[in-house]
Amino acid sequence: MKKIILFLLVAITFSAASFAQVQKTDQRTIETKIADFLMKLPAQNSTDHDKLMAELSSMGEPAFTGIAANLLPPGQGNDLASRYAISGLVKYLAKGNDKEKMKICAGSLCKSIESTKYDEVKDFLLQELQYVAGNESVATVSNLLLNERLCDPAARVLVRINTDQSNQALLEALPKATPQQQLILVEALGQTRYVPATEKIRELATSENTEMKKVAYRALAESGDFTSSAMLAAESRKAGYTYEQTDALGSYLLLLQRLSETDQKKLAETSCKQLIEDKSVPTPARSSFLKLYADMAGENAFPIVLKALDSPDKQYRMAAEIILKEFNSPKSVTQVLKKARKTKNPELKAELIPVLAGYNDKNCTDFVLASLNDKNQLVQLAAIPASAKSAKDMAVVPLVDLIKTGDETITRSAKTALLTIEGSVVTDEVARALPNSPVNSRIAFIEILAKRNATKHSVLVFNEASDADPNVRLVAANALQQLSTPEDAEKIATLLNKASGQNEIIALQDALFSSVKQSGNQENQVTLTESLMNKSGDKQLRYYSVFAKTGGTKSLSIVENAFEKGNPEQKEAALKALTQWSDYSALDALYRIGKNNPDKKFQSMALESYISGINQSKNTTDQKVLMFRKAMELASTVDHKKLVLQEISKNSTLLSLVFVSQYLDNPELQQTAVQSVNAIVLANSGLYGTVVEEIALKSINLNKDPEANYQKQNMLNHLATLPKANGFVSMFNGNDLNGWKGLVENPVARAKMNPQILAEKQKQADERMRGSWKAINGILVFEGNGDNLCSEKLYGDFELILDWRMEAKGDGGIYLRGSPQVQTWDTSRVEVGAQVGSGGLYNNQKNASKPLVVADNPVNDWNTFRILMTGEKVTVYLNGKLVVDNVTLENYWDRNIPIFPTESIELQAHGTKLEFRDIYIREIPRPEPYRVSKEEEQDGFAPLFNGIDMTGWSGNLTDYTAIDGMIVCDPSNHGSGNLYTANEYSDFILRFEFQLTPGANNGLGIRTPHEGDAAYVGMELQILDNEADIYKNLQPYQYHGSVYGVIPAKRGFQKPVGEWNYQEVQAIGNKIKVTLNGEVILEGDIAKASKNGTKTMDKNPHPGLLNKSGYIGFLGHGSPLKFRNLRIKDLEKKGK
Amino acid sequence: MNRRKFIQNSLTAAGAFTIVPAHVLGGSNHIAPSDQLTKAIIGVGGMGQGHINYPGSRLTAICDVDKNHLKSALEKCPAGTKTYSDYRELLLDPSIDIVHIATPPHWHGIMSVDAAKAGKDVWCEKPMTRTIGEGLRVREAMAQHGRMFRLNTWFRFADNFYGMGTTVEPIKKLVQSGLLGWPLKVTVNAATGFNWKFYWVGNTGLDIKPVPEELDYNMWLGPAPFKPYNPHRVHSTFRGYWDYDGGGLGDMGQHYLDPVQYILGKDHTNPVRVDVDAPQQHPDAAGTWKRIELTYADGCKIILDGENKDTDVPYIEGPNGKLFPGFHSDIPYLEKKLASFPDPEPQITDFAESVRTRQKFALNENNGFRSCTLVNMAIIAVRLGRSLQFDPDKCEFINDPAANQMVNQPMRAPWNI
Repeated sequence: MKKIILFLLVAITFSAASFAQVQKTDQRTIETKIADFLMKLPAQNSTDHDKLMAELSSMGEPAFTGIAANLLPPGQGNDLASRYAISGLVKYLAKGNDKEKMKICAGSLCKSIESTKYDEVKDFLLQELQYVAGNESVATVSNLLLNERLCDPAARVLVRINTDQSNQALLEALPKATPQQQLILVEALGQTRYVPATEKIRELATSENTEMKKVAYRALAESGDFTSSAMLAAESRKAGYTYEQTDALGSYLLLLQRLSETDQKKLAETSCKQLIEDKSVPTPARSSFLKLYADMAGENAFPIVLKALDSPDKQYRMAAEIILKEFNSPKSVTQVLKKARKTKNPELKAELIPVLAGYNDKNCTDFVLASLNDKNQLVQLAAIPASAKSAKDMAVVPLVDLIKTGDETITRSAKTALLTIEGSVVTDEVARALPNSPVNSRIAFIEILAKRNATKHSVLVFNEASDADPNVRLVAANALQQLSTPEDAEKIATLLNKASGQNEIIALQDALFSSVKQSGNQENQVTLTESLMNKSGDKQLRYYSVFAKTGGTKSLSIVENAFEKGNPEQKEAALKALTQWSDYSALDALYRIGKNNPDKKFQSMALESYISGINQSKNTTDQKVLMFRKAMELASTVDHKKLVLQEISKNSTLLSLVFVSQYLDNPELQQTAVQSVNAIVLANSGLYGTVVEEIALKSINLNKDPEANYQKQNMLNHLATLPKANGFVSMFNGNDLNGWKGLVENPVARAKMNPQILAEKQKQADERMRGSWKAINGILVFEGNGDNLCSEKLYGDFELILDWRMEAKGDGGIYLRGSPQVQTWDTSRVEVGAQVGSGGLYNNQKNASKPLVVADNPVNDWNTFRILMTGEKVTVYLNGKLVVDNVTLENYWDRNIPIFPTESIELQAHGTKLEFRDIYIREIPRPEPYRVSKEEEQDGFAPLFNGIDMTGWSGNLTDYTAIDGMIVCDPSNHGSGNLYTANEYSDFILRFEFQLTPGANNGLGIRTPHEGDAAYVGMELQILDNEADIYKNLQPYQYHGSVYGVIPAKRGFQKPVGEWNYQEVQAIGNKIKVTLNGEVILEGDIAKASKNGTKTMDKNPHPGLLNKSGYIGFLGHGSPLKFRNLRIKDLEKKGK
Repeated sequence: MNRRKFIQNSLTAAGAFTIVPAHVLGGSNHIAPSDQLTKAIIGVGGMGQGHINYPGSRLTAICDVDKNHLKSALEKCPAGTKTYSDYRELLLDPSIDIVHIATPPHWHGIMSVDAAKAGKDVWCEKPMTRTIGEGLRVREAMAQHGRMFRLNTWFRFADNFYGMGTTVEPIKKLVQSGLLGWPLKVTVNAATGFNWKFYWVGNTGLDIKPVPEELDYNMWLGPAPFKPYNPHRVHSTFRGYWDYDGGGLGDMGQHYLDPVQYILGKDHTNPVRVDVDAPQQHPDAAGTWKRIELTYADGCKIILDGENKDTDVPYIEGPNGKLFPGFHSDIPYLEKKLASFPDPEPQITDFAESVRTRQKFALNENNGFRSCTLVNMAIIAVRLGRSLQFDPDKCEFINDPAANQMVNQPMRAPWNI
């Protein structure tokens, strides 16, 4: 008692305290609170989920019913957040910690069920009500039992309640219900096991309807009332004790089971026993009764169960044997053993052996061991695993002896059994028995020694490896892989040279490698293999695969040499070795063979192995993509092409995506390409922009996979998360020079030029360009004569991706912002220093000019550049390797100034043939400070937000951040509180733009202090998505633009969600005027509207309404939205 | 002699010592077609059509509630295959030995139990049952009626196990050897080779569409609560709805976790605790989750890492060693060391053998129930968004009535289990 009082006191104190707190700070109306709350759903993780549901739970009934009022039938609007709220709350409360709240919640749901006119909404509420319903819900729910749509969900709720009251309601509805509803009601009464319904249900069980019979029998059985047993017994008998659609037998079994849990147990036992002994009952039913009887009677059932073993029906015996496993009193064990000993039926004996083995009894174990030598194989086969399990070590010798008999079936089973026995006794006994055994036995013994890694018996296995029988030799060769030591290499090599069968050779190669690899480092291994090979006469080709397993450059040159210079047999073996190369360093060799070898079979083998090896190799992702593209050029079969598309998709880059997308229109490869596009796009959220989106959407439309529905949705969901602006776009369309222009002198010279002259010169330059640069088959080619090719567009910060290649002695580069250059040249040109590789900032004098590593592919091969330029800094990846790491690019044209802020990207012409393909660019927005227009500046406006950072603002700088010239409010940053200006303002004109998201809610606070709820301690001009369903029940003074709670604004002038709205706010003395998208939506006098601050529309005190000055702020952090172009004309300052 | 009679005779004829060794019975190649076991498939959509050619038995009947499925499946079936649209009628056919259940999971429990009552052996697709309570009933019915049951996931005894580069057997042997120590932690994520299929989710806010002519939607729903028809609920996308399945977790979970249960030697029990971090779940449509931890009484843990945060994580980690994908380990010479340990106990991995000898299949209603319960525990915790404690003996959650409501869910009449 004391405890309870103490608890109550604490609870009262606590809730009073929190109530006071809420009173002080939270004066939002319930509608606003609901709307604010719903914005936060669904919770993004379990911690938030719990907190949010605790918050909702504390909001009480008005919130519960208020939220439920938002619910709509499917397809009639978006009530998602409300469904999350109710479902989440119900499951939170159903944990049962707060019974009072649970009751309130159930009450609210009932109220909502009564008030909504939609059956589908009622259904949803009933489904949820199940979790919290109590007696108080019975009246509301039972009214729905006779509703066709809702009878089932309503009955479920009553089943969950399961009190006399709820069961009574189910029963009372029965006479008035339709046959379909009666099924539901009877089933429900069965589940609640409501005995008073028995008589009524028995009546219905005589119905002609099979389904009704089935449900009624089941209900009668569930309730466990013995008065139904006569009926169910009769019906089972009528059904011949077999299954039929009313399942009378199943229900009868259930009833007997239920009765056995009551004081009617004797009745149940007697009924079971009678049926077991009744030979007219089919054995499946008898075995069910036997099982049931054993469950009821325990060891008392032993005699009957034992008797069942005499049945000729195996299934019936099996039922008994399963039961016997549970009976392990000494008396029953002895009797089962006696039965096994005495029986003349080997099948029964075999069945009883596993039962005996499970008893853990010495006599039984002895019997099992003795059965190993039974004259019947069925018995032996049962005894083998049973003996290993129960006799363990003691079973080893007899099992080994059994193997020695050589019978194939017995041997297989005994071998498996021996391997489950622990300890070296197994291998020692096997080794002892191995010599002088028949072939089959020796094979099994060798396999056991290998599996157990019995190196100490390896000599025996070596002997067997030279046996006359090829099967024995093969098994021994395989075993040597496990058993060989470094010292065995020579012995294995001798065997390898002598071996004849293909499988034997492969096994010995594996064994040799396994021995060689223990002989030191890679060099030692290769030397050893080479010396063994050199002693092998004409069997050298048997050693190539050992080199392949070892790997390394020396091995590679030996095998490549063998491929080039060997005889046809050696060539084939060498190629096979190359295709199995363990460290994938043979890929280049395979590519060459795939490309050049005159033998088509060799080509195909090499190419396939090349394709399969690329992703296993240690190359960079960009390099792998280039390798797959090379492979595709060689691929001639659909299978190889598909393989390329599948494998390249494991490398998620822009260029792999663009590459696979070319095959979306190829009928044979389309679906493979679709899956590749999926894989590439989904694996990398850095891939976005129009190029990516177009490919993704195209592949969605073409997808015919059985899982296409999921895949499409998944892709759309993924695309929705990607940034919409500033993604990758193509700079080269593959067909012409659209977007490019010729070069006129240099940026410094051009800047000084008269525009007319510049235009003239540009025309001439363009003319020259068309002569020297050509688009040929998707490749941009420069033949060696002419000037640089310049992008028409000027670029500031960007990421540039392109492929390039050049011929021997080639020279070129990429100019960034009109300036030289990211260098490309043939690294063999040591006379000009090209051995440092391509990618360096060649003309730098103060900063690094050489690449960090040489990453060039051979001349005439394609290379991939990824160039990142932000501000003056440049980073370059060549073929996936970092060659320039954030280095300043110096201004070549005027070394006294930094690099130009924007200029063309140029492809440098330097007198040799150059080729480019797949040129893509992603512009990186550069924050520009926000400036007001000249007119506004003259008018006295100044920026309130600088467009770059949050200078001049304070408060919640976590959720509110400066991004791309906007103030972006993002609740997922998990900040708290509002955003305020650092300065105070009194009279002013504020202009800004805002963009809403669906359901967004924020507010513009003016003349407010930094602390407290601005709507009351200052003034709040509502910012709200007026059109969202969740706000349909607000008061007029709560919609967008209103002086919150004081003066309502006009609705209907917002732009659609997602578009920018333009707003002007004038606050001059007590006059407030709000203009939205050119329409004055509010104009009023706050003093008049509030009777000088004493009485407002919302009847709440607004003590700060008539403040003379204060801060400007954005009030809210629950909804994402954006602001930009904020500028203010400070009228007070002007007046001073 | 009809072929059903043949089976009974071969099982019952006392003194006729004609039973050939198990391995010969095992391969269908060794048995004349007329002596083969017969099977029927219930649910011949994408998954069920795959069962048509499963070896070891002869197909004689198929059943589906969608006429188009029946039609397209029939084209792939042997001549003379019977068709049904109500599985209850199919079960009355005495010539069928084995019933393959390839319907969505909300039917698995009822159909398995009904098939057992009708004297059929059962080959059931994973997940075994949609609720823990239905699983208990299947277990009970198989015992009561003496039927053989095979759950159709096979990694515990066959095929390379996802990223492990090996079958489960050596992993089981490793754990059994004690070389890794105890307790163990198993991590199931993309890095260890398992993809959680987070695109198998439902759509929220489905609208109402007319039921197509060919589909008996009421029968498709069966025991599930009635919800207005929308094509996304059924056929290839049903996995995304709680009423029928449990998203990627529900549908792939038993594939991934049944072997883990076997490896850890937990076929007789379940975790005592499940911890979860997930976004709030929609009441109808399954969504994604971040992390689920299942803890056994002895401290062994299974981590389902939906975010794939730890990319270098071992598949199994114990106090004395780790096992990584590809059967790599930080224990030197692991394979050699392992060789000296005993093999795991052999299992029956051919269902026809199990049916003929009446010995339990490797993955049956008992261990299958436990691994399905692993998944159902996780699903319930995800749906409730909170950690739960579980009593593996009673198969009930502790101190959480809401969770226990999900253990047993009432069915729409006339369906019961």
